[in-house]
Amino acid sequence: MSVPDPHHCITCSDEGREMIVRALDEARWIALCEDADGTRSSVEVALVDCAPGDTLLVHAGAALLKVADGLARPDAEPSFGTQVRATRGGDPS
Amino acid sequence: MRFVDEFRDPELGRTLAHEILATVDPDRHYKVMEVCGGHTHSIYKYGIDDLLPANVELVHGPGCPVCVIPMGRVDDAIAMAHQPGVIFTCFGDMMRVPGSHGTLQDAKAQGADVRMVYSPLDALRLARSNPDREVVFFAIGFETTAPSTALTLMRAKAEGIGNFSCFCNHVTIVPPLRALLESPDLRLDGFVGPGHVSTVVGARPLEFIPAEYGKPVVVSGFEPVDILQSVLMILRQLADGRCTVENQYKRVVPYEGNLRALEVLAEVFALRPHFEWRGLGFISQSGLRLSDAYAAFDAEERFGVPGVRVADPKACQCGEVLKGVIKPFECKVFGTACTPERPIGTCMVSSEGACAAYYNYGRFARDRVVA
Repeated sequence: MSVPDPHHCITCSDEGREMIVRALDEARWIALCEDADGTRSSVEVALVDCAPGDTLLVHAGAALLKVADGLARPDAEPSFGTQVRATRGGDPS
Repeated sequence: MRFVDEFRDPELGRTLAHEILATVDPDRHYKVMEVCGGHTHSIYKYGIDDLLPANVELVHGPGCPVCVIPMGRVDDAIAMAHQPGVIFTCFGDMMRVPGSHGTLQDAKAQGADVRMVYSPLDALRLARSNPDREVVFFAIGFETTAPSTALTLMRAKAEGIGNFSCFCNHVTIVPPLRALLESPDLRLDGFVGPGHVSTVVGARPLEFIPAEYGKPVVVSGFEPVDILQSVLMILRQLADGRCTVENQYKRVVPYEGNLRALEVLAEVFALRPHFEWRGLGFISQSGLRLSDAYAAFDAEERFGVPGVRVADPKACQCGEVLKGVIKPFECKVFGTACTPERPIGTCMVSSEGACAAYYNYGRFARDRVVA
């Protein structure tokens, strides 16, 4: 679990925080979300499709995406986590 | 946080460090720029720099949104804050960024109503609850923060909140990268690409870097294993003679970005012809203003601002630090006249600034432990 980091820039709000949706007001596109420290705040969710229990990446009070489940564990293989595209032509390589 | 433990696994980190050592050409010096301030912070917090061979140098880029705000814009903000009836709102770090005659914190001490908020939505709430006051939000940040401002403005427009406005200082990441690549001061071999910016814009806008400049880019997460793996992926591209955009952070970053966010940005913002960046000067089409549809919420139009360009203090070398030309400890005032408690330059204000990262994690000299 994350440990609060006194040196990390939260106040400039350009830091992404993972938050869990606790309640959703779909009519207003606002969700009550909770971070790893248990702090709750209102989050704009107009840019993502989400439901209570989902984990969102939140920047400056707006959710930018829903964090996917089933993430692979990292390993030392160079193929891990890569989505390689040829610069010209756009084909995966 | 989910999966954080795996991405901070010391054994994996050591394995990656050994692979990096096995990949580098010992007769070559590599310069790799990490674009984001968040990466810079993680590198020094976790000592990633010490795990790299001595001939792999990490250069710190202009990706801290607080650090790139020029002094003239801070002066403009302070002028607005002193207007009668104004509640001026900003993120916490911006309170301490020096203008030519002090900071917003100083303005608050002199009687201006300056308040810290955590999101533009907080500022809009203030506007709702103070209908007899003018609430101005000091909007800063890259494409990660701009959607939040855009959604708030859309909400303000829909609700007809007339006492809310935005002092827009949002910037985009691609133009400064191009400016750095054109700079004769700097020779870079590759980029650790922006992670969270890419959640919005995707990785495709970075394709010009390999296509036009022949440099590899790896979009990276922010945990230590993420960054080590990204550096390895860059070095492997160089060793193989390849040059592409790779996405190490695909658990978060879709290659095409968030299309809904891009639509929102296109509706609310328009590109400025040019915008001043601290240390980098004026860069074409690098800043955002409010679009014509949202011009009524433009604080610069509503209040008027001095708009005077102010040169950085001579002692401060934030510009050279932001361009990666010097390391923070090479600045004459680093750690002496300029500290996080009494910053002279922006890079010492934000904790994601390179100078603050070096200071907070004790990097006062060039000494490195070689892996």
